[in-house]
Amino acid sequence: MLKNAWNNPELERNIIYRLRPRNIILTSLLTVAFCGFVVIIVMMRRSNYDYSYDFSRDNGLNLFLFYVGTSLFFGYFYSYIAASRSVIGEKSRKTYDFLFMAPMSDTQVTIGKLLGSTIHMWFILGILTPFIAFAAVRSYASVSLAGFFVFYGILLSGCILAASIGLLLSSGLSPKSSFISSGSTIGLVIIAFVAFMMGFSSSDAGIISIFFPTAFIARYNQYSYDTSLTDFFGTPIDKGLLTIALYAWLSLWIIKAVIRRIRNPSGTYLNPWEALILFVGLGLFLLGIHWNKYIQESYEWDIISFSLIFNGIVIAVIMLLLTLNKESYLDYLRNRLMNRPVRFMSYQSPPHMLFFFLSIIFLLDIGGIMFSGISSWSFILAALLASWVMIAFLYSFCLLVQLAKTIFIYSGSLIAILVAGTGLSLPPIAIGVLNLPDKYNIYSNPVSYIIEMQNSYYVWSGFEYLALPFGLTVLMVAMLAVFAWRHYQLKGAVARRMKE
Amino acid sequence: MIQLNSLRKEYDDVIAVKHLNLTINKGDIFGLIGPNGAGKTTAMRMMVGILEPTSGEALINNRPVHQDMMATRRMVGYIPDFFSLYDELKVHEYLNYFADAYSVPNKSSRIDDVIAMMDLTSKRNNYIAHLSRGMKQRLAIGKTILHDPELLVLDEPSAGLDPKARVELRDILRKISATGRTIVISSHILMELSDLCNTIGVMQKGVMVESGSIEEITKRVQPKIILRLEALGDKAKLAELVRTMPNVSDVVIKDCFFEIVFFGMRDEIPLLLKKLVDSGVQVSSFYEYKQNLEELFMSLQIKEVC
Repeated sequence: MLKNAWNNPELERNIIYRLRPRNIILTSLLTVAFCGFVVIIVMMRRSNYDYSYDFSRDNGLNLFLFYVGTSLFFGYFYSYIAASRSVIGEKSRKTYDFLFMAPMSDTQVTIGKLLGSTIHMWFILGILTPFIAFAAVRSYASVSLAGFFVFYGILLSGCILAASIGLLLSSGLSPKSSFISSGSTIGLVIIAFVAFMMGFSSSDAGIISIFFPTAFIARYNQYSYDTSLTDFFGTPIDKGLLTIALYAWLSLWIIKAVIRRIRNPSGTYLNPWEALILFVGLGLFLLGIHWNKYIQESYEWDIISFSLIFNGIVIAVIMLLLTLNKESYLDYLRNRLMNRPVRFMSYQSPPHMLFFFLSIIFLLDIGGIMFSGISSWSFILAALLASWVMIAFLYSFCLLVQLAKTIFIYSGSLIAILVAGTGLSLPPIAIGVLNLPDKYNIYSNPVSYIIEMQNSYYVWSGFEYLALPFGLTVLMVAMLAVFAWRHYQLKGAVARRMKE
Repeated sequence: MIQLNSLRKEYDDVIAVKHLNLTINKGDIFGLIGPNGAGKTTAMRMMVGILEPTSGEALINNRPVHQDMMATRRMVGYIPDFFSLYDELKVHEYLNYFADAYSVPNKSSRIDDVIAMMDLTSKRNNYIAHLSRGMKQRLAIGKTILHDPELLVLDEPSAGLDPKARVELRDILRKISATGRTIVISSHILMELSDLCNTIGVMQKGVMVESGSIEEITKRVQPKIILRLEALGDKAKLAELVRTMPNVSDVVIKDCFFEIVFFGMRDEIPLLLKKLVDSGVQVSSFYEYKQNLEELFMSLQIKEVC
């Protein structure tokens, strides 16, 4: 990576390109100021907890991490958006052909675009550095100098992970899908803030976790702010270092997939062996963290581990589903009918692939629970329902985007973005507007549902907690029936055309 | 230099190029013509490796284009039909970026040479966003020849340019062709191609319907010799007289001249003129009429693909 970062014309151009609009400095300053404003709002809303008089170390640390973390989350966010527009942007600006023909290696182009997308992050980090350094030197809010460097490591590796996800989207999707994806994320941030101002969840986790689909990064980044030691295969290790390792592991494979796709849209993301290594690595990470639990009799299944896997897969599935289009499916069918060799992964999300993915997730889930030694049936049910909600929610989300794309194809992508964004944001807004009790916050998004459902109390506490999985199940079955019918018709149409 | 063997490209249910065979020799300036949707752009994009053919192969210097894309990229300079440049860069920054990408030796002096050749010296420090369309086109050509490629593939390079910019572009291409590079160019302005190209290919519905030098194609399309005669006197009587001459199959009276369809050999044309003069015809003008590329194109009855 260093070799490709050094003397890289694409990186140089990206830096010039992103630094030339002078407002990057202003944007970064405004971000930091805006987050300060959010901190003040949070403090005011938590009137029952007066921070101004209670600067105990724990509260100070919370505040520090919230402020710095939220500011830097915007850095992630900018990096993600910049990266998700980078390749697609070249295509829509009609500069892509020249880039394609330039004799730079695919790795050089990828690294150039990846690092070039993180410029905002560096600026925000630069602005925050004196603040963080002051806290570290004065040991304010328990921030140590070692923790300070680990903290930087987490932020930068997290930023690279966010940018690599964005780049993967950009290199794999059609211009419209990518626009919808990045546009939805922008819309979600705005809507999340509005929802927050309207009364929805005053907790920092609540705000950030709304930023789906980047909730994965946000939630686990928060987890990583806790720099205490944890047992990893029985050895105490800094949680921050583990987080950096996890981010690096994920980034490595995502970047590998991007390198394959950046100038070859029909290239394979990862071959089955590579995918296996990726998931084995993730499995080892989880096993290492829960090692003591596994070897102790008192082990209890941690459903957060599930959500970690789910969110990772969710991002991949969303990326694939967003590209669902008739052309690629027709192309797939045509090649199958003509007995041509078909590269399974080169066809972007034909429906059978969707079902394949969802089935694997569900089977993994059941298998994991069966072998986990969970004794409580209510817990198993909670885990199954939570995973089912995630699958159903994802599928509904993808169909919603697809529907919006189909209906509003002539009205431009903006309407599709609004529809998708609004659809996704309706639950948290409704909770805020209707001023529903806190227990309904579990419906704000699937991530929060899964996290909250780890408490088996919910499963037996009333129909409202089960309404979503049951409702979505009915919806899913209906949609599958429609889809199967359309699939049947489509296959018939293709067969007829081939016969002609 | 370039060899296309049974090249085929399918997009869903559309066959953009089918069974395209073509050989272009080193140093040739090859003009690719055809109506909209004939498959010219697809063929060019497969030629340079941007598109992978559904079947068949494209060879440059006997090496498959897709086998070693890095080598192909170094060998080829390509300008697509629709392109834009990085507007946020300055002219010299843009060339510097590509000079680095192509690892051009003596970068600074090469950039200066290209800027001078493209007549952009006064715009060297200007943002690309502030350049006119013609200047951007010249800069794109400058970028394309920066690494001194053996082959230039230009897809509609004069599209959208005003007449002055087109003349400038033609001059630049002449300069480039004088250095012995092979150029493949497509254009809708056929007169432009006939001035530049020594060989042409005519595509229709994904197939190369004609290829070769303009003379060869003319001979194939129009095997008879057309002579134009201007003479004084009664046109009807003159036409009758000419029809009696040997090797004349038809005479058509136009506004101010006759068009004679002659099926003799080319060296028999002076004999015909002598006989006309000896018969008392007062000849004011007599010459062989050659179809220009536009007329040739029209005579092939090529229609836009719907």
